[in-house]
Amino acid sequence: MASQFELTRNITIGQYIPTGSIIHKLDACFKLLSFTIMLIAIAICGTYFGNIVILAFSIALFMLSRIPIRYGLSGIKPAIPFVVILAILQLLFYGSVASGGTVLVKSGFILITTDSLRLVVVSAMRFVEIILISSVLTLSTSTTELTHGMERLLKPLKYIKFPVHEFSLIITIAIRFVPTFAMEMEKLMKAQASRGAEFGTGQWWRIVKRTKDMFPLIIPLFNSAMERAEDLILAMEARCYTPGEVRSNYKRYHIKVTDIMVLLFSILFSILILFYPFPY
Amino acid sequence: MKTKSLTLISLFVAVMIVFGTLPTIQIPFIPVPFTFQMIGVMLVGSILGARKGFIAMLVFIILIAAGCPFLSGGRGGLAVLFGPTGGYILSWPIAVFVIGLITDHIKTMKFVVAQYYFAILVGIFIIYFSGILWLSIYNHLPLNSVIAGNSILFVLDLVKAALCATLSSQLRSRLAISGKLS
Repeated sequence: MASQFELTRNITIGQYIPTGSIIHKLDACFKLLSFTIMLIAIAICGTYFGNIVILAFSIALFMLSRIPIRYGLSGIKPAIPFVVILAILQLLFYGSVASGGTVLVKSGFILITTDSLRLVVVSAMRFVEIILISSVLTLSTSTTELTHGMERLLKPLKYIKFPVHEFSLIITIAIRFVPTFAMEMEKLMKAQASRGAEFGTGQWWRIVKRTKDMFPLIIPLFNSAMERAEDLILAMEARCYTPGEVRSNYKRYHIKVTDIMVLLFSILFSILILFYPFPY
Repeated sequence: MKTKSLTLISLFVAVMIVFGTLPTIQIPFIPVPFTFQMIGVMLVGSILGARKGFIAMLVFIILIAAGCPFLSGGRGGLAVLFGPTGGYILSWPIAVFVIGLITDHIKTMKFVVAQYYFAILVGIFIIYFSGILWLSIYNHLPLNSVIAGNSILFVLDLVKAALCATLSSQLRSRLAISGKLS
């Protein structure tokens, strides 16, 4: 079982697929904003027709971004057992909690109404829609772009003394050090394993023992994190890093017409979804 | 914000992410696996303290929201945060803040482990409270059935908290001796 030592293999930061489509070229800042607006609309919309329209729209987004839809669907697969269990629970219990709708099935404590059926179908669709739309966002935007976009979105918070720049610096440093720490963890695991320790092989009911087995890894990892922090502070202060200073960006962003169009479109689409009188 | 707290926060975020890659323990009949990331949550609070711990967790959650697959099992993205189990994850900063607040006020050296255990317990209560409430409201499920489903994991987390309390009291005293924590 060599695979359990390869921690770095499991880390895939920002699965970015460059296809150079219109969606890729959008400003990350506007992409994030329109995404949030769409998300709110999806969370509120409770009609069958509205959800079908959103589902069609999210598939259309995939086509527009020229990303194969299987990348989006792969995010749904691991969640299927959980969603199924939740759907069954909802189908069994919701009818007896909320009154309303016509009764479809009634036997014993099971009470299925049109309302509970609608709830199950709509929440399953909602789940798929959210995964599809959020994967369009993350697959078409690199992590750096996203961090910059977030920094610019949070800029107004500067007026309430929120340290926006420090925030994005923290993110950059953290992501930089993930592979370093993962390698260190691997080294520690191998060092312990060569002395006879076992990781990830014990039975599940010996949870306490397996957790205790991790201690010889956690303590040195924290210690080395502290040591590296010390080094980093020295290096930053030696280069006269001053928190809270005004800085210029390497890349300059210009707002384009398409960016504003996309934002307006997502607002209009959300209003349409929420207020159009769908028959079902 | 000083350079020191800035770097400490970012390196602890990195440590949290590495915890997410550790192998999980799958318990039969329960869809949620036993993860080591919760240990990270408990430790960050009791080692970094309230303010820094809160910021570290906030950054971690924002990274997940941006689509980085840093949660255990390579999950990530806004869909997870606003999905059925989002309540647990979204409450992490608050839980860490409270754990840090309590551990910052530990002064007497008597029953140190018990005091850490109390702090972590309060944190776990916050996480489960918000997680259960979110799950039941989000999915329109009756509260008692959700609580029943969570009880086994909760008992396991109590054990985990006991282990973490010994670990964090040891870690904190060792780091204090070597002068790395100030």
